[in-house]
Amino acid sequence: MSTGWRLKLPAIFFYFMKTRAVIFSIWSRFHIVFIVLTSVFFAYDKLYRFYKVKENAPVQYFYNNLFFNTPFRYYGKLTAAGSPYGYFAPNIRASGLIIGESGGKKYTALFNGFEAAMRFSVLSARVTNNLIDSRDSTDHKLEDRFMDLLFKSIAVKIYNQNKCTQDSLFVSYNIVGFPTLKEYTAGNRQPYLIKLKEVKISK
Amino acid sequence: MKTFIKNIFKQPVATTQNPLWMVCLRCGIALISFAHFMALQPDFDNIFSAHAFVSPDIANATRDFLLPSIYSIYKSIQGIIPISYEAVLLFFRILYPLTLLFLLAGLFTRPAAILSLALHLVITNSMEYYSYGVDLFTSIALFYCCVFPIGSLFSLDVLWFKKVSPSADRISKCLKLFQTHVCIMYFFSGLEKLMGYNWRNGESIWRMLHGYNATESVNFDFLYNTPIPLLIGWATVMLELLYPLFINIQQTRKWWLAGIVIFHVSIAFFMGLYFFSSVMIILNLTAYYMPFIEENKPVLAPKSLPQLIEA
Repeated sequence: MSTGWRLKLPAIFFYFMKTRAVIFSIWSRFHIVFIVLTSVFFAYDKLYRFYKVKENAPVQYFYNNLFFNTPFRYYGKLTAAGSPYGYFAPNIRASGLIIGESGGKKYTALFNGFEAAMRFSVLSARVTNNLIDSRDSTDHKLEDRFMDLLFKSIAVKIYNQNKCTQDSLFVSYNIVGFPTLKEYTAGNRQPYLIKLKEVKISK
Repeated sequence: MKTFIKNIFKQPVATTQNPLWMVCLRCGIALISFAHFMALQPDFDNIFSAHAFVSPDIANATRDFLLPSIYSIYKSIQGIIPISYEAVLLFFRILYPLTLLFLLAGLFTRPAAILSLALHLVITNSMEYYSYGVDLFTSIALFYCCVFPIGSLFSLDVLWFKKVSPSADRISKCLKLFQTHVCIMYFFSGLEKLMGYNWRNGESIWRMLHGYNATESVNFDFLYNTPIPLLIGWATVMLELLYPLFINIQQTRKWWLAGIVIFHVSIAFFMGLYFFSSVMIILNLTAYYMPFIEENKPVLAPKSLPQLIEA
């Protein structure tokens, strides 16, 4: 290697390192702004949904048309910076429960480990929440048909898992509720189960 | 006044920050993610296989189309080479824990971190209906493993490939970014809770202890005529909302950190969210405990013979 290059290489190295530091500085600022803007949107969105407040048009326009564009959505997904952090907020919803019934016997999904059972309870909550939310709207035919497919898929699995001997199985999607503090103080102390939907599968 | 505020938020200078936080992030998240994935193995088929509760083609219809799912990858490569869905599933089942072990050992750290994140995102996207908080926070931690020079300390990369340690200034900048993200997370989590009245009147705690109670043997009914649900509700909101302030004040840091760790241990105990809590505790220890551990005073190097003679 010539002497010229030997002298140039450290210079190139330091220039590269400095450029990398500058790029990191710029990117980290952008990353933080991105996280803050995303979090503000999700907080705003939750507030609007929870209290059913009228949407602010300029805010919606900014987020829907300018901020949540495809490159930014990709960025948010790949860096995990585009997600909300407010779990169990603004309130804790009632938990969902999926129960199978056939020939007077009750069946549930069976698992070998705790983690999968936990994840199934997440699925139950999602499905039942979807049922509650869709009650407000009327024009969700495609989504409803998809949900029916989903319910049947879960029902078939419960039927096969439990080795049901009967020809049919009813699978219901329920909300498990517990009296509020006020109700409990007033003497209403029984937990309740509200059936939201029932699916029948036959052989 | 300016000096007073500066003193309150005083951070150790870059050279005195303990770089062990990078080891904590790398090993902590790799270990927990590995254990988490292993915990899912006994029921892997119930969640991912063709005979799962939500069959893969149905799950695929609602996935986030920005990223592929295991099923969509299977569909794409099926056109090129004849392969079964189970074979693709097996590939993910083996490769993901393997990359996590590489990350844990610090072998080919950056490629291992990038591959872990990619596989984690695809796996999470394949079980959209089953995913909860732990998946998001694991993604965040794995992303920072890709960006930060986490393989430059206590790793096989250093041992075998003589990886050079980055400058203290660079490590400090990385830490600052990580701390800022953690602060934003807690602030918005607290803010969103504050927006709903259920956290302010204790109802959320009451509902959590009854609807999501993992400790079925413990009965919490007696709490109805005590102010405990109300106090815990407000404590949770304040702990999260004021986290960015008090965790950055030198005098209150350890107390706030202890509070947040107790908060996550309680979530694990009462709600059964063990992996979620573990990930959150690792994020907290990485950001606000490990960098502030005082390193042992450096042992003075023995003087060389000429120096001794000179002395």
